[in-house]
Amino acid sequence: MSKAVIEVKGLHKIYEGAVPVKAVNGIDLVISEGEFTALKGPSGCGKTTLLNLLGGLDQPNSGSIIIDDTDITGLSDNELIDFRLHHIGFVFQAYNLIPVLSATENVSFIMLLQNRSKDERMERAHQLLEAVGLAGKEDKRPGELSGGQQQRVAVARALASKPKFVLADEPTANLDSESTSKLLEIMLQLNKQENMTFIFATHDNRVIAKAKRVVGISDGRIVSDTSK
Amino acid sequence: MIFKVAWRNIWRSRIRSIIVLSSIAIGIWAGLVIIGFSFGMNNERTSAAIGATLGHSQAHHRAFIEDPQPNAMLSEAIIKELETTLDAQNFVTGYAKRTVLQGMVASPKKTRATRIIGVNAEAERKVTTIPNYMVEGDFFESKTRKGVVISEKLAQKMGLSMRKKLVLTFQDHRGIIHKATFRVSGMYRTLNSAWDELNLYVQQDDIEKIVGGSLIHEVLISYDKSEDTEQKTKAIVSQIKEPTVITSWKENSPELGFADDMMGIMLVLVLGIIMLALLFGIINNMLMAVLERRRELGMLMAVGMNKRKVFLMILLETLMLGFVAGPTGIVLGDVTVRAMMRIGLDLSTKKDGLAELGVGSVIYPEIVPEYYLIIAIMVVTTALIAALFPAYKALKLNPVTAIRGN
Repeated sequence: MSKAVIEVKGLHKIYEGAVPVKAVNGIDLVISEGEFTALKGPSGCGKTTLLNLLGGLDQPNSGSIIIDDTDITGLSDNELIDFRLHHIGFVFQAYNLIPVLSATENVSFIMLLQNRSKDERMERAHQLLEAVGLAGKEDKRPGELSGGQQQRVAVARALASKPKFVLADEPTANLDSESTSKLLEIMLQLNKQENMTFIFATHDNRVIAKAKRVVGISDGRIVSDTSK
Repeated sequence: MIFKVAWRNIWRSRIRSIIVLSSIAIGIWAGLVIIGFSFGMNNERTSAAIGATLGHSQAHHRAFIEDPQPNAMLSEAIIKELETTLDAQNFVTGYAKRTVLQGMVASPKKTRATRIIGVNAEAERKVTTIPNYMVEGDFFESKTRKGVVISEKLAQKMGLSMRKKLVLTFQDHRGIIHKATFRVSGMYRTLNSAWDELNLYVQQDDIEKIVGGSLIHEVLISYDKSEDTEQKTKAIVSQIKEPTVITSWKENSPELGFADDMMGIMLVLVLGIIMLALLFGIINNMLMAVLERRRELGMLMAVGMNKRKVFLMILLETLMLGFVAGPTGIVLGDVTVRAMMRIGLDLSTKKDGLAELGVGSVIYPEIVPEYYLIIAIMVVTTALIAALFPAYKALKLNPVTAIRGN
C-alpha cells in the first residue's frame, strides 16, 4: 500500500460574517503518494477552501492536516511559507506567472528561493520545460505564450521545488479543449513517471474523467469518494 | 534573480517609472543648482567683504572693541610684537595698520556722521581690494595732500563730486577736537552699500600731521586663502598677549558670519523639502506598483517566498529608482552649474537690491562637492523610507485573497 502524503482529520473552516458559512464542515481524508485525485463539486461547495487548507494558505477552525509527519495547522506564517516552499507545488487557475521573467526564469525562481545553485536551477528548469512540451520556448516571457503554454510553465514551476504533491485549483478553467487535454496528458505522464501526487479542485468533466480518484464535495462535506 | 525581477518590475509601467525617475532627477538637479547659486552668491558676498572691508582678521586694543574711542590705540610696542608674530605666520600674506576715528563729514549742503579710516595706501593695496572698487579718481596713487576717498553713495547724499572740498571733524586721543578740510580725490563703490555710506578713507600721514602723532587703532590682516580662517585666526590668537585682541571676519561681521554658518543649514532644509516632495511621489508610485501586483505577490508568498524576501524585493525596486535617478540628477545639476559658472546669472534688474546684500548683479554659481554626497545620502534615505509603506502593504497581503484578485 502507498504511503499517505496527506492525512486530514475533522477539518472545519467557518467564514465569519453576518451569516457564518461552514465552507469545510468536518472532512476526513487521506491522500496517498502517487494519487491523481480530483475534488469535484459545484461552485461554493468548499473544494477550493479545502485545497487552500491543504496547501497551508488558509488556517482551519479545527481539525488537523498532517503532511510528512507535520501537522501544518500548528505552524506559524513564516513556517508555513517555508513548508510550502519545500513540500507543496501550486498550479493556479490564472497561471500567475511572473510576467517580467522568461519561462526558464519563472521555473527556476522557486529553486532560487530554495537556495539551489544556478547550474542545478538551469538544468532542472530545462528538464521540466522539456517535460511539459515547451522545449524551444524557454526564453519566452508569459505574454509571448498562449494560455495553455503558460499553464504548462506553471506546472513545471510547481514541480521545480520537488514537492511532495501538487495542488491545482481549476487549472483548466481558462483553457480550450486542446490545451486542456495536452495539459492533462503531461500531468498524467509526470504522475506516472515521477510518481508525483496531484490533487485538483475542479468541476471540469475532462479533468474528472482523467482522475484516478474522484472525491465529491457538497456543502463542505465529502459526499462521495470513488477510485478507478 | 531578485535584483533582476526588481529591475524589470520597474520597467513594467514604463511611463509611470519615467515620470517618477524624472521627478527625482529634476528635484536633485534643482537642489544642486540652488546650492550652486546660493554658495556662489554667499561666497561672492563674503570674499568681497573680506577683500574690501573686513580682511580675514583684525587686531585691536581690547578697549577699542569695548568702546571705539580715539585713545584706545595700539602702542608702538604692541604693534612691534604683533608684527613679529604676523611675520612668522606663513599663511599671513600681509597686514595694514589703520587709524579709525568716528567723526563728522560736512559739505556745503549737508553734515553726516562718518567713520574716518586713515590708511597707508601702499600697505592697504596689498591687503584690501578697495582700489579695485574705484569708480572715479584713484586710491591715493596721485599722492594728493589731504585727499579723501569717499563712496559714490556718500557723494550723492552729500552733494559732492570729484575735487570738491569737505570738512572732517574728529576728536584725537587726547580729546582735542580737530576740524580739517579735505578734497575728494577718489570715489569708490563696493558691493556693500551700508559700508559705503558710512566709511571714508584718508591718508594716515595727513591725520598724523593734524593730531601730531601716530594713531593706530586697527591692523587689518590678510591670509593666503579664505579657507580655515577660524583656525588660522586661533593660531595667531594663541601667540598674542593682552590687551591685543584678534578677531576673525566672522566676529567682525556677525551678520556675514551668521549667513555663512546658516547657509549650510538652510540648504539642507531646502534639500529636505525637495526630498519630502519626492518621498510622496515615490510612495505613490510604489504603492500603485504593489497594489497592481497583488495577485503576483500573493502567488509568490503562496509558493514560498518569505516575507523578508518580499520586503527586500520592494525595497530594491524603490532603491533602484533612486540609484537611476540620483546620478542622473547629479550629473545634470553638475553640468548646469559648470555651464552657469562660465556664463553667470545676470540679475541686473535687481542690481540695487543685490547691492544692499553686498552682492554683484551677475551671480556665478559654485560647485560644492560635499553636497553631492549629502544629496546621494538623502536620495538613498528617501528611497528607503519611501519603500517602507508599500513594502508593509505587500507584507499584509493575504495570499488566498490576493491570488483571487480581491
